[in-house]
Amino acid sequence: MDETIREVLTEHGRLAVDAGAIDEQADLFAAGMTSHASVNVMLALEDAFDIEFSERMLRKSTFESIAAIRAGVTEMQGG
Amino acid sequence: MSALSPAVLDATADELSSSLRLALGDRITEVAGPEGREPAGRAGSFPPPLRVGIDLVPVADVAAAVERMGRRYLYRVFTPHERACARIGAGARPSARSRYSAQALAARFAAKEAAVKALRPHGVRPEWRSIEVRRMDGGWCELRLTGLAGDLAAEAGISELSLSITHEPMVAAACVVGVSSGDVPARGRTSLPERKGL
Repeated sequence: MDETIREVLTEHGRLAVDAGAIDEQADLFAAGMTSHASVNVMLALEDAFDIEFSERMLRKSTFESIAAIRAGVTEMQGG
Repeated sequence: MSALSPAVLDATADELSSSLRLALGDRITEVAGPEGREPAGRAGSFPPPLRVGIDLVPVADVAAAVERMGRRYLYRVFTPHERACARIGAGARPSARSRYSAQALAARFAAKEAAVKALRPHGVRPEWRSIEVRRMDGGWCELRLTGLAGDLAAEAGISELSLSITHEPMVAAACVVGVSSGDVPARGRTSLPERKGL
């Protein structure tokens, strides 16, 4: 799952650092991800994992780090 | 760091108050209470309860999102009214071949983000379509809030929101100013009627 998340971030996150190497706890917004980029990341994650983030998941913290994204995706998958 | 005495704090507050009055002029009198120290109904809320949000969006980012995500992006982020306003060839019915102005979409996205900054949500943030940019007949735009966005405005006592957007080929920007009436409803209110300008 982490590899897919990093691929999505590489393609859509517009990070100022290498998404493949960034620490999983690192703040993605501090690393350059804009609010608009986070929308693209969300949509790409939905495509990649065949999920749809619910409205209550639409919070900045859901997408603030790779670890947070993993937790959100896992929750949406019913895990 | 040494603690300041209440007398010193009062004196400092008075100096700050005087400075703000000089800086803000008549604006202060609109929100100050009878004693001129606190806005009516907002004890402890000083300076005036204005909420400002601003955002800047590169047009190319939005164009790329439309290109990559297409309908999912357009329909997830923008309301039917917003899409209609941004559609090239206004008035045409949407179709699979509809084209949209990336500048117009970017300005609307900037407006949504600027509104979020003004609303200052803790935790869950409003869904994008709950903050709608309405184009008025005169050409200017207003915000209409529904759902959580409307709730946040109500909780903050914001009675009026003003929006300004602009766009150029490279970038779009928006500024939102919210004015509080000081009329803060009881906490726990979960829904508000949809209101023009909110």
